[in-house]
Amino acid sequence: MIERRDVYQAIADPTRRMIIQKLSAGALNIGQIVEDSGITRQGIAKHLKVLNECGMITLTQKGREQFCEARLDQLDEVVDWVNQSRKLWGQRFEKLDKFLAVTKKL
Amino acid sequence: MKSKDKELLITHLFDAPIGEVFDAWTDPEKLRHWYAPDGCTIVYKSIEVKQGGKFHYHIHHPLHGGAWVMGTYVEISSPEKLAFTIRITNENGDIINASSAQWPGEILTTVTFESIGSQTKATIHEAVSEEEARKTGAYAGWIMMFNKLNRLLTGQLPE
Repeated sequence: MIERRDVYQAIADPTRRMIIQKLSAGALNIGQIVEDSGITRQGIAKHLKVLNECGMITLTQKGREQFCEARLDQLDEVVDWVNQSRKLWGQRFEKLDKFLAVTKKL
Repeated sequence: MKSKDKELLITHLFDAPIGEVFDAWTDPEKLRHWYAPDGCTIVYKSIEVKQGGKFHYHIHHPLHGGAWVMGTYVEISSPEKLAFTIRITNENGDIINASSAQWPGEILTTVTFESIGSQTKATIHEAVSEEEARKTGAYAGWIMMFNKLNRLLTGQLPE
């Protein structure tokens, strides 16, 4: 099975959302991400790998440190999906309203 | 309140009692009348309305063609709650992995119904689910997280 690697997979996991949120304030090294996260360095590294593959973060080597930066523009895709979905439900509500009104008369 | 329009938590007040509304959501004959997007028709190939049951339908648009959607009922608690996952599949029910900008893979939809006098309030919560409902902890959070991020990005939250 081919694994999905996109922004949705990036945000589907609570730990990864936590990482994205931490990074939304600016670039951090791995130690800073691990700090106060309650998750091991190994666990964080695993999620960073997925986030990187999803194109949600970029990793840069600076001396001995590796810095992570969130590519927050990727979230625009999610905004689009949310808007589309909202529109679809609006259409359904309208139709169900009509359907319920019609069945009531019967 | 600015972030509200970015949150996929939608409510709607239906002018019908809760039993009727829930019925419209779970009876394939009734779903057929309203569940398809505008300009589309919906045909159920199969539907088994019970916890763990599956449904498989085809949405057809006269110009844009059609799509097969398959899902599983994660929870059916008549008449208050309905939760199901959906994925884009082919006619045989095989999952189509290719994700597109408009389709985030598997989606977990939770609908709750509440009686308000003679009316019924339906609340829809949609989320990207990583592995069905096994990780139900995940779905409550992502929209909140998204809002938070959004507010951070637009400078509405102190760091």
